[in-house]
Amino acid sequence: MGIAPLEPVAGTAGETFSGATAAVDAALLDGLWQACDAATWGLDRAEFERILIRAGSAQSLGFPDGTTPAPRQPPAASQPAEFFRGLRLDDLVLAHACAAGNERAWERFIALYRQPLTRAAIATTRSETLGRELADQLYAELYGLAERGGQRRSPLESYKGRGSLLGWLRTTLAQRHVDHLRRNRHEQPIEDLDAAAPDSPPQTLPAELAALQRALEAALAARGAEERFLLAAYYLDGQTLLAIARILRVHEATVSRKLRRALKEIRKQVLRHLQMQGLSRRAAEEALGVDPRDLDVNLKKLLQQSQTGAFPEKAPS
Amino acid sequence: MNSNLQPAAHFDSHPDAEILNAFAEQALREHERTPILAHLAVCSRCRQIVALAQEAAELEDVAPAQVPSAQPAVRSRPSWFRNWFRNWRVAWLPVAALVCLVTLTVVVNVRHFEKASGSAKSAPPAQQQAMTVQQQAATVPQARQAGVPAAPVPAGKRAISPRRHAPPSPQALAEAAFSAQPATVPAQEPASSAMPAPGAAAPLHGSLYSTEASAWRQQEARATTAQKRALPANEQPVWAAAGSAGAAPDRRLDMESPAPAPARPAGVAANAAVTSSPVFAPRLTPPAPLPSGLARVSTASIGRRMVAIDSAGAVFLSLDGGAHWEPVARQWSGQAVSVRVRISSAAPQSAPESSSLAAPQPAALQSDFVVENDKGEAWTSSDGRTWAPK
Repeated sequence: MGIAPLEPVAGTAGETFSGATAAVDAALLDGLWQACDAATWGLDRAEFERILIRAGSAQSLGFPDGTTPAPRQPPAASQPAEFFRGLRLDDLVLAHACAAGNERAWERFIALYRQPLTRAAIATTRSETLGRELADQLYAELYGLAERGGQRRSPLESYKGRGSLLGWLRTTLAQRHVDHLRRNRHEQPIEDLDAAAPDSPPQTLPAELAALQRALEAALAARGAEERFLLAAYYLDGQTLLAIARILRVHEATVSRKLRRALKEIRKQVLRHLQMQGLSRRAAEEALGVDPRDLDVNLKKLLQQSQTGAFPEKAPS
Repeated sequence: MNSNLQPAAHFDSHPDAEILNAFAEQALREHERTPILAHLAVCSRCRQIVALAQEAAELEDVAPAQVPSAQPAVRSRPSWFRNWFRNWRVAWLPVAALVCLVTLTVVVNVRHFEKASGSAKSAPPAQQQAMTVQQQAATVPQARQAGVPAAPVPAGKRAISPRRHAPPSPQALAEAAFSAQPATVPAQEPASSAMPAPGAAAPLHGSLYSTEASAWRQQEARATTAQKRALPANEQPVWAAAGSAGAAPDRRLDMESPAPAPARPAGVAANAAVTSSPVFAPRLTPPAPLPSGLARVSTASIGRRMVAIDSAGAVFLSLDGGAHWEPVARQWSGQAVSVRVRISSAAPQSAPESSSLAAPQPAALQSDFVVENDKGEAWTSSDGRTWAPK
């Protein structure tokens, strides 16, 4: 059960598994077909299978990168089946039926998501006018008013069912809004926290400050992804513990505890690095007590330089 | 804003909305989640997107409650309520412990109460009389009034010591006496039903927890003890005896009936002997079953005269406190469903002209049985045999 080589799948490059052809196991496809009732929205089995394959190939079937099952090789485990069963199939077929122009699907979509979409846009922009404008524009795009290559294209085609359709709509709205703000930063400078840190002219730093800077860089670079996310969200973005907790789906106290532990570890590692650079313990502790204004350390830069390279950020043009 | 809200194609290196949404909804696996977290740690744009989407989702959860729905009965609780409890989840533990403690306490007390009540029922009448706290409560103040030292009260009975009760009001004494049901409740009935809530079981049990009771209480409060004694000895209402004795004859009522006032008129103290007289003995024993063999649904008594209605609506009369029953000829329409005692004030007797200067006699009290049928119509009788429409 899972992905099995069967026949070529029409699609763009990257939509097939490792460039090979694949198909969903017939029994699994039957079960998924029954579960989501795709025929209601005018999708036939071939179209449904194509949607599934596209969703699976875009996300490597949930396999870690580089471990996608080789072409013409049966999957080693039931992970593909689990992956497909974990998709929001109802939302997936509805979104693709809407993208295909099914009128009944659009009626359903409007009934389910039109008002939530507007409310989410208003909540995102914190403005009734901007929110309605943003929602209307996205709605027009979803309806396929924009054309690309002579064909109407709907962003709903890019929905792959990993999360809920409503969540995808909210995230898309937030994406549009943030990009708009970042493009118009000079008009609405509300993101001073995210302003690119200007490169300060090189200064002659005292030895202790230079050692402290190196120690901080090393300590921050050693932190894990989650701790760096917590530090950035809390100290750079100024998000509350509750907001971070909601993103990570953990309790507020857990976020607080992890932050405290991260700070404690960073302090410990900075002290260790300072001592390794020749400072005594007392001098190292005194170095930690320097006025931050005397320290030419840009924490934002440090955190952003400690990236893993999974999604290297490009500055918006 | 229109042209500025186009999708940013140059953000291809960022995770798309699908992945960010899946991350926020915890739909990613661990090996997928870690790179996203690492990216979020360094990318303020994506952090902002996730935070804004999450904020919109939180507001969306609240919004449906504000939109009028077709089912107004199903409303979500306000956000402050949920937030308060979300932040105080830990408080449920002590609350649950407190609820368990209270429940345990109530259960233990109810069992203790049932045990005490059961022992009172099973004890011989003579022993019960000896154990009756009301008698002690009545005799102690009387003895004090007469200058006789009071007999020591056994330690076991101090739990219901008269000192813990307020002096009785006439209403309380009358309620205790006229709530004839406790003495006539079958032994198999649970204790909880033996002590009905005020107003709950009044129509079926002839209790004075009824609408007429309040009117009677006002009159009774004005009545004198001498007028109570004016009734014939065999028809003397129990409340008179109980009032003079200081408490109702039933132990279950002892728990609620207050102890008598220390100062009692001499005539009332003399009536205290009635308490230990055989008048109360039959009431401590379950009454005989009705001749129809059916269960009694309503009972009322005036002194030892009792009227009962069985489940078929037949009415029976007993002149000896329920030991023997005789059927009463049907003199009403419909089916009798309840019987109770009504206390009314009789017209004052006209005083002779020679004594016109004497103090006016207060209104005397008259007690009648009242039978109600299933249509709410009522018939009254002073003796339980002859009934007239009310």
